[in-house]
Amino acid sequence: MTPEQEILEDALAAVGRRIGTFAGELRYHADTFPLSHDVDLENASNLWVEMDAFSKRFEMTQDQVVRRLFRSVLAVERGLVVRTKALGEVIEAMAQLEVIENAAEWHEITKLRNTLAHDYTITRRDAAALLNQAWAFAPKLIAVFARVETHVTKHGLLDERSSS
Amino acid sequence: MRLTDHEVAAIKAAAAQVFGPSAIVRLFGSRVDDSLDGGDVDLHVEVDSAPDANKRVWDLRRELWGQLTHDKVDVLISQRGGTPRGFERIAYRDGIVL
Repeated sequence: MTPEQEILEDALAAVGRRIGTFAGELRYHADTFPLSHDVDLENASNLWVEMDAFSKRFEMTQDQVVRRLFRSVLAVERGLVVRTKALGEVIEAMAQLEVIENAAEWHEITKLRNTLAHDYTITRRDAAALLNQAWAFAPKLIAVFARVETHVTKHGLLDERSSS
Repeated sequence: MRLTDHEVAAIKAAAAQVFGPSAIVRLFGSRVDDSLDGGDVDLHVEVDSAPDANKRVWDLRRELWGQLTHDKVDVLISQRGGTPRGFERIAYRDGIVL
């Protein structure tokens, strides 16, 4: 196995565990979403804590899928230099490989993930709409893992190769 | 290799201070490719033993803080005589010993 294949194998194992956990987390939150547009997160402490937890798990899962898993696939397919590529280029490359169908949607979700992770000016009232967007996209994070597994098998990305 | 002489000297001095004089530091990743721009500084450090590896990685980053033109430094540790895997193998394969 080449080093790049080892990286992909490790990524599949680690991201697969995260996806499994995330699926359970979505089931846990199923009764809460979608949030009503007039939900008062300002005064709903328990719900806010729960939503903060969901937000963090969404960020973590999206990060693992795009930054780690997608890049690992591209490392085997196109050489490790893709590690240096911006995430936007990674998404475009995965669309070219037809692992994802709609690159624009994944760019949007990366932007949403970054907003949730880094924009500390979001008020609790703004957050409901953003969290609903994350909730709507979450099943695609789970589904894309199966598509990556299929792609890896179909193209023999983990088949034994001469080691370098 | 896209590091200045000053940066190489700073990395070697910091690694020796944090990991001891027997540590071998390699640069790998995008910074070994002269045709690219920017990018994180990926360092691989080979050591005799690596107790408190995570703490030492932070110590190394702290030592280097402000000394490199790009402050995002990723550090990978390998124990000498161990079985490298994935990125460690790439560092041994493609890396440049500083």
